[in-house]
Amino acid sequence: MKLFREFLDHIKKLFHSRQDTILVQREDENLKLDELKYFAVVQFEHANFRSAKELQNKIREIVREAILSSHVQFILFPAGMNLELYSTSQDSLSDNQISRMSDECLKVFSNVASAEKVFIAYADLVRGKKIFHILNSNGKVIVEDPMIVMGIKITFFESSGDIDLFLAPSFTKKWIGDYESFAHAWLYSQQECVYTMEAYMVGDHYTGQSGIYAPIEATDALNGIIKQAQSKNFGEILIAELDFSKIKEARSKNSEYDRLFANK
Amino acid sequence: MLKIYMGPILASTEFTKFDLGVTSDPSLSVIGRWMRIMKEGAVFDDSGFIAAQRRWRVPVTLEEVVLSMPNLKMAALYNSELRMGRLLRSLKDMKIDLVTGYLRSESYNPYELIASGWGCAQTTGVPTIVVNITPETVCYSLFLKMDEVSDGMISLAERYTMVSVPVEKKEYTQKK
Repeated sequence: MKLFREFLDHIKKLFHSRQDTILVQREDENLKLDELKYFAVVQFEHANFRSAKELQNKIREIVREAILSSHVQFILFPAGMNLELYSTSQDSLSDNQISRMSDECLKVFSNVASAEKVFIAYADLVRGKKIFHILNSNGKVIVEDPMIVMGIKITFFESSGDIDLFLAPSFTKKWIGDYESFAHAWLYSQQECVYTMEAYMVGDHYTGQSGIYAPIEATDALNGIIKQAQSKNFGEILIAELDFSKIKEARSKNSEYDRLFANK
Repeated sequence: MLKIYMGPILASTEFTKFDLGVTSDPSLSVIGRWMRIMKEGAVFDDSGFIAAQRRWRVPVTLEEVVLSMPNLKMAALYNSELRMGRLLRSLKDMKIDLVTGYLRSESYNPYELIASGWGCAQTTGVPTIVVNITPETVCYSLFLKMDEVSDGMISLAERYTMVSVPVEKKEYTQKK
């Protein structure tokens, strides 16, 4: 028994020392937290997790990978993250059970956001309806929409306002043609002059192709694609540095048309 | 269905019986109905007579971009207008039948063409014909609203072609 306790203490110490290392590492990187520019989209590979803790470990592993490979400050996960805690379909669960699991999922993301000091956005899927969540780097829920994070206007909802970044946590996608890469989010970037981030749940019977998009003029290859997942079935992390001045420049070219819609 | 020829007037002799021709030719044709999409603007001719036109400039009113003819309401857009979400949604409210667009590119860019033509068709919900002019060539493209069986890209970058688009003809062809 004593040996077992010692073993547990040793494991705990190891875990804490690893955590400290990562936090120190972030400080050493001199990350400018007054400027938001490093973003990640997680194409999440579906797996039914046995517990919230297991899900948290997985989320944290992904977030750490994103932070260590770049200076990621904002991470988007797909829709349906709450479903990762179910072993059965929602039809067999009561509203209370679904609500409890969504709360548990929120707690998982909140813990990771505060531990790793990143903004995290994702969506639950409750009886087919998306419930959006965004957490600040202290793990607190942001309720405003559009939300302004370090001067960047971010929203989950389609609107013609002066938005800089549109978030599209998505679930799964049905493929019908060869041009499916020109996703809704890509088109939204072209028509509204905004950056868009789209994250899909993949694996098992889910498919999708996550991406980070911009207006054509704001991309070097003139294709409107900053990053796009290589696979439609496997998990990936897409990381990009976004320059919001490019969006403002592209948008200003159409400002002559503003008066047409002034009274609308 | 509306049968539309897209391409140079000269090559249209290969085809018979179309309801509307779309061309970038500046010369007039005295036979048939033509939408001429040119550098300065769009002109709709009916048997050699100008029926409606729009110059490429920032419009003063939204109505300026819509060319209304008996039984056919067509929007004429150019360059970035084809990707302007607010403008396209307004056109949807104006119940147009078809969009014809002029897109001038420094070089052929399918992404720009798809964003302009396909994107316009998705947002307005009506067929969109784009005349894409580059220093090397002129291409005609047709895009439709995607549905469960089609991605909406019917004819992408052809020099000339004949297409049938799902536009209700009403009395349009019967009067011809």
